[in-house]
Amino acid sequence: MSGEVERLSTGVPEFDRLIAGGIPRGFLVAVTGEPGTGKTIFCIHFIAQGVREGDVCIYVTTEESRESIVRQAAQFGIDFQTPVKQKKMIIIDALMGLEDQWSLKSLEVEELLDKVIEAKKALGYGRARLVIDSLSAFWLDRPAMARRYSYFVKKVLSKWDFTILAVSQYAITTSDAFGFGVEHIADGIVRFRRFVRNGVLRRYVIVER
Amino acid sequence: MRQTPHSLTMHEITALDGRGLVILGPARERREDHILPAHVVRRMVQAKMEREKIMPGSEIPEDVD
Repeated sequence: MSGEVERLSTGVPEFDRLIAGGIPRGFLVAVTGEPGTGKTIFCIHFIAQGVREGDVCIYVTTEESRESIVRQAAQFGIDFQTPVKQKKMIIIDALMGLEDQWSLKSLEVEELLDKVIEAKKALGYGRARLVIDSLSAFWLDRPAMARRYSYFVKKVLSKWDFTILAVSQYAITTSDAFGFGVEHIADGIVRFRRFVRNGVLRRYVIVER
Repeated sequence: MRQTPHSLTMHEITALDGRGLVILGPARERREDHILPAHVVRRMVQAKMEREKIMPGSEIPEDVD
């Protein structure tokens, strides 16, 4: 067994330098923070880098529509429309409740896993990147289940060669997570923070684990 | 991050149109990182003094210099 760790670039070179070059292949990394701190942008970079490197790329969005993610990426100079059309990436929409193939009808963990695996089969085998933005949305009304669901997601998807960014939201009022779960089972934790100093919003990132 | 000698420093970031997430550099150390706000410290000191005031035996005996 080789001791060398294969690392996946996040698409943000300065961030890669903070983590010795990238995220180890097969890791599940929790991306946490309050709304508006930069979590989604970070996830968009991660998937865009995957598209550039020819990885299978899947983005699950629970907070915004598929179109909104494509628009947001375009704002930052990233084209998601073309790889989606070319079937190099799939954006699974869990917000709009649409009837198309790549939408979730409910926020159930089992449905999420089925759809992600279906998407992986459709895109082909090999190294894959998955963003779930956010995973905590799947247990907003059942925070006590957070740890069990997180473990279940990690266990099932670990067999499918995914390197995963799982977003976990924090309440803006208390900075508390909606049920600790992802953080417990994650191989890494990237925390985004925000402070207002002298009337100016400042955003920060720290690798907590 | 497991299997990774990662940075332990908080970094300031920003998002730029046409470029995305940019890391500006290590966050400057702030007073708030080390101490609580003054009004909170005042209330804690007051609460401690109140507690000590009502503790039995906390009165100083008169024959002590």
